[in-house]
Amino acid sequence: MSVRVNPNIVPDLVAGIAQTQQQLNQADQQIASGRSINQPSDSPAGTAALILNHAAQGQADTLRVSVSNLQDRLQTADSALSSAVTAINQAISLGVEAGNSSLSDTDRQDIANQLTGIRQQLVSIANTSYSGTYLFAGSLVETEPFTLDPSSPAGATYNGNASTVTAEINSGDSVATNVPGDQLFLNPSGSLLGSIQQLITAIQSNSGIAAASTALGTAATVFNGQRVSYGSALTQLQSTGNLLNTEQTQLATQENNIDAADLAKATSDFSQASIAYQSLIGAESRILNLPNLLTFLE
Amino acid sequence: MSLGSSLLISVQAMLTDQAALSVTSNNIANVNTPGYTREVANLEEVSPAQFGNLEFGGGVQLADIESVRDNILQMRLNQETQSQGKLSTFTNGMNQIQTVFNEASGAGLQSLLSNFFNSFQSVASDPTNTGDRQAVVGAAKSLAAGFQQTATTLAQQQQTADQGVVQTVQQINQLTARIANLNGEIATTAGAGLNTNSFEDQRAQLITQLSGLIDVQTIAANGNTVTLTAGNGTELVVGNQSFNLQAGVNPATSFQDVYARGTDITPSIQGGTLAGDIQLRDQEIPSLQNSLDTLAYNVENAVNSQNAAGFDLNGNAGGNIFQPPSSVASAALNMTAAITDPNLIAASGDGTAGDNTNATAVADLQNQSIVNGQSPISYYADLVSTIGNDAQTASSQLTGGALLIQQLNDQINSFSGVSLNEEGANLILYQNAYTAASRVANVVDTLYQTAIAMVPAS
Repeated sequence: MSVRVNPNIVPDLVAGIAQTQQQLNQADQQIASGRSINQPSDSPAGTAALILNHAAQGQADTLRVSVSNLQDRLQTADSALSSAVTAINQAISLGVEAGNSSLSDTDRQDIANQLTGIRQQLVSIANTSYSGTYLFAGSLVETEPFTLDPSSPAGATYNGNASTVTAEINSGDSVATNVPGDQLFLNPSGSLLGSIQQLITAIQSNSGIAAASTALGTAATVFNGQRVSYGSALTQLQSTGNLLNTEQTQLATQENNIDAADLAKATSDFSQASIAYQSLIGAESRILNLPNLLTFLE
Repeated sequence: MSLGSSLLISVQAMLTDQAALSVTSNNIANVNTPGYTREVANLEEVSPAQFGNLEFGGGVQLADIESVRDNILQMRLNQETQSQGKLSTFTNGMNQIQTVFNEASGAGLQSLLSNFFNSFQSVASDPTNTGDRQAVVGAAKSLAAGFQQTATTLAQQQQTADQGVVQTVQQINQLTARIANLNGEIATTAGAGLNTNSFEDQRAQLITQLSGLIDVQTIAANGNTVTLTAGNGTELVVGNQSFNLQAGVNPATSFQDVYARGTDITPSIQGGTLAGDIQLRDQEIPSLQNSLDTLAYNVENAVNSQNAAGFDLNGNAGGNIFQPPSSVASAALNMTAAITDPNLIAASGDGTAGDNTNATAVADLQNQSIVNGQSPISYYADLVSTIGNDAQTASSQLTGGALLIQQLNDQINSFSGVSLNEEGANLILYQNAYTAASRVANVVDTLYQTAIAMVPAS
């Protein structure tokens, strides 16, 4: 006796069509979204990697914005200090000029007045603010750091603090975002404001001008030494910014490797499933229309 | 041997062929009836009659009408249907849960977690910037809302599974009542010596349906009836009696447990939709909720502690960013941002406005092992990966099971299904036999006429 075959193959054909339709849908979803992972079950490990990748990208983006904001802030500080250098050089020249013994008292007073103006300019520079906060006040950024005070030896008093604030700009990498104002303008190794005050007094009394000029030169050297911090911080920010850009590109590439759909494969899957679908439909309609023995009975 | 007995044999043959044709006709009529098992008319010789030394055949008669059924295959189908019912319900539930954690499409908690910590990073780069501080308040609110929404969706899925348990219990009770009823019909019909095939077909189909809902054992019992028991051996159907399952609230969980004749059988239910819903409700979702709560609880506490270690813009010690969670349980569902005033973010480590050390410390929490030895993001990534794995495993088992069920159905059909070609052949066979038998009757009639004509008319 021959083996009896399943006389009702319709459920199998329908299941086959459903399976092919599912393959079509899957390929279609990949092509439409451009992604191979459309839900966690598509690739649990891939999804976990995506989450870490997205978090790393988010952090890199934020750090990149922080670096850019810090660059603006430090650039403003550096420019302010650069204009201070111009004023200092002018003061040094005035000191040299005041040392000329042929000058009259009036001439010297004139120079002393110019120096007073420069001192005010320097105090104004030392009080530079950026988006509502003072750049040279240490961490007391809401307090105006310098006020003119003729009674003090330096002619101005410092109201800030000695804090250097550092900002994290990448994992394990941070940068100093300020040099406290007293280190810049009232440095014990050479006080800029103090030496200008000393020079003004020397010129007005016409004694010790040379010594005062020398002291101003020393203070200018100290000031320049302190200012270098901004230059090096800006260089560091630039290189970290570049590093973060590279990192962002790498992370984007990594994301693409994790979940980008292989479009060539998805398209080929789609056309294969499409052919299978059409063949199945064709086969089913033919099979269902096949005559059986009863067709021939009269 | 008389002419009469030949006539009787041919008439008997015609009746038998007629019965066989009726079986064929019934098979053809039921060619598309779900659960129908083809029937075969079993013919047998009538015992021979003895005349002296000679034996004469007694013709043909219908021995019985047999349903061509393979109980072993049916049993395997039922077993497979049980695990398939469970997997199908579980997979559907997991697919819905997955959409809440669909990180690939950008939905999910990762971006909210990252935004929150990164907002502190921005404050660290400019501690007095009100816009950046306001962003922290917004990010804290969004993060709390995200956790709440995720926890709510999980709780809703759990409720759906719980309602599923109640509905399934009702369906089971309806089915067991109908099966018990059929058992009764079968016993009565069989007792009267009648054919029970169609009742058995209906019963087999109902048992398969029942297997999709709960794991049942089928035990053959007296009078062609079956006894059905649940996983732990509690009887669901005995003879013509069915025992209803009851859904009742378990005070400890406030979810519906399943009781059979007073006993809580919930833990012993291993198959069918019921098991799928119970697994989702009592194992999968609670485990995910616990992970989510652990994440929320640890993030809230770590952020609050770190913020408290710093100073706000007014120079005061920092307060809470989130309402402190009372316990791990429901921490995600109850997560609420406590901070509304951006000035109260404790960015400073020393009380001065420009200091950022504490904001940096909060931002750095995202990379620190503050959640069961893992960073918040990698803990969350593991959670989503677990969901993906569970959904993937269930889904591939479901696909494999569907193939197995298809094969079993093919096997059952190849054994029990109606073939129109086969029935066509039988139709010709019985039609010819019927025609032949009627011819024999005709010939006997002619012989009678001949014999009668031999007698002269009086």
